[in-house]
Amino acid sequence: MNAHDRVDILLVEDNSSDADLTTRALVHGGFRERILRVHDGVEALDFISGTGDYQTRDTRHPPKLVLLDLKMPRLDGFDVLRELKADERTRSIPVVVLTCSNQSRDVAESYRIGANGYVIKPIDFIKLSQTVSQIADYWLRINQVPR
Amino acid sequence: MNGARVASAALQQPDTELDRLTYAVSHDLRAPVRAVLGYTAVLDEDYGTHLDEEGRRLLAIVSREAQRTLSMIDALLELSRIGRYDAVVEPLDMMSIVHEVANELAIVPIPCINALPEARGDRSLIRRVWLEVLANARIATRARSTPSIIVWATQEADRVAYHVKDNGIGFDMKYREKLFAIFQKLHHDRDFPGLGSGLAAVKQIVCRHGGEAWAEGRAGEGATFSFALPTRSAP
Repeated sequence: MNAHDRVDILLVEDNSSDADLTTRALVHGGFRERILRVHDGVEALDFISGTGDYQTRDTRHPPKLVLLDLKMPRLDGFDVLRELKADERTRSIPVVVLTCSNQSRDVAESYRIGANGYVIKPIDFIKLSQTVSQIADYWLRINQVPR
Repeated sequence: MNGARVASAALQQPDTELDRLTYAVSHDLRAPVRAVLGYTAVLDEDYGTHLDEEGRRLLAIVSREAQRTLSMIDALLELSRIGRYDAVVEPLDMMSIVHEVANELAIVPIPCINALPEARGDRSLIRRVWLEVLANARIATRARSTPSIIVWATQEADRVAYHVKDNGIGFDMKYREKLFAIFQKLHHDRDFPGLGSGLAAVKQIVCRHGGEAWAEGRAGEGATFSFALPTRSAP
C-alpha cells in the first residue's frame, strides 16, 4: 500500500509556518491520525483525484476531512471547493475552510460553493489546538459520510 | 429621506488606492506575526521548563511585542475598513447616541450633556466618533478626584460643531498636530494606555462626512475635543 493511500486529514495550506502550527495544534490536542499537508489547490486536487505526483495513489480512500486555506498560489481555496463539490465522486468529502480571513464575503462565498464549515484560526495556540481538535473529532469520529 | 443607502461615493472618500494598499499590506503582515505568536506559545508550552527565569521573561517580551504588532496591524485594517465602509446617511439624534455611548462606557459621574442638535451622517460611524472622544475624556480624567466631562454643541453658518470638554491630564498645544495621527501618542502608556489609533479613526470618519475634527488643551489642565459636521444634506 502506498504511504499516501490512506490519509485522515488533508491540510491544504501554502504557508509553512501556518501548516506546521496547525499540525502541532492537532497533535497537542491528542490527534494521532494521519495528516498530509499539501501546498496549494493544484496539489490538493492531484492528491484527491490521483493525478500529477499522486498518480499511484489508490483514490478509493478519500481523506476523511479537508482543512482548506483560501488564499493560495496557483489554484486557491475557492477553486478547490468548486471542483470538489461539482464532482459526484468527491462531493461528500467534508471540507472545512480554515483561514485567517474574517471577511463576510469570504464566508458567504465559501458556503455558496459548498463548504461544510468555515473556521477562523484563533491566534492563541491553545485555542487553535482546541478548535482544530474539535473539528477533527466531529468530522472523523461523529460525522458519517456515504461509503 | 430616512435611512437611504448611498453609494460610498456620496460620502467623501479618502485616497482609495492608498486605502486598498493599506488593507492588502495589513492583511499580509498578520500572517508572519501570527506565526511568531504561535511559535512563542509552542516554545513556552514544550520548552518552558528548560528556561530559567530570565529566559521566560524574554519569551514573554517577544510574545507581548508580537501581540502589540498584531494590534497595530488590526488598527490599520480597521482604519482602511472605515474608508471602504458602505455608509448610510440619515438624520441622527445626537442626544440619544451620546447617552447610549456614555452608558456603554459607564462614565461616572455621568457627563453633563447639553442640548445637541441633530446631524446627518452614518449612525454607526458617528457613534464610533462619540465612543472614541468620550472614552478619551474618561481615561484623561480617571486620576482626578472630581472628574468632569461636559458635552455641548455650537451652531455655525453651515455646520454644527460638537464639543467634549474634560478636566483631565490635557496636552501641550505644540503637539496638537500629532493628536489625530495614527500611533502618535502625547502621553506615556501608564498615564494613557492604548495604541493611539482612536483619534485617527475620529478624524477619518469626520473627514468622510465632509467635516473637521480638532482639539484644544493645556498640559495638566484638561482638553476640549471638537468635531463639526455639515448641516446640508449628504455631500
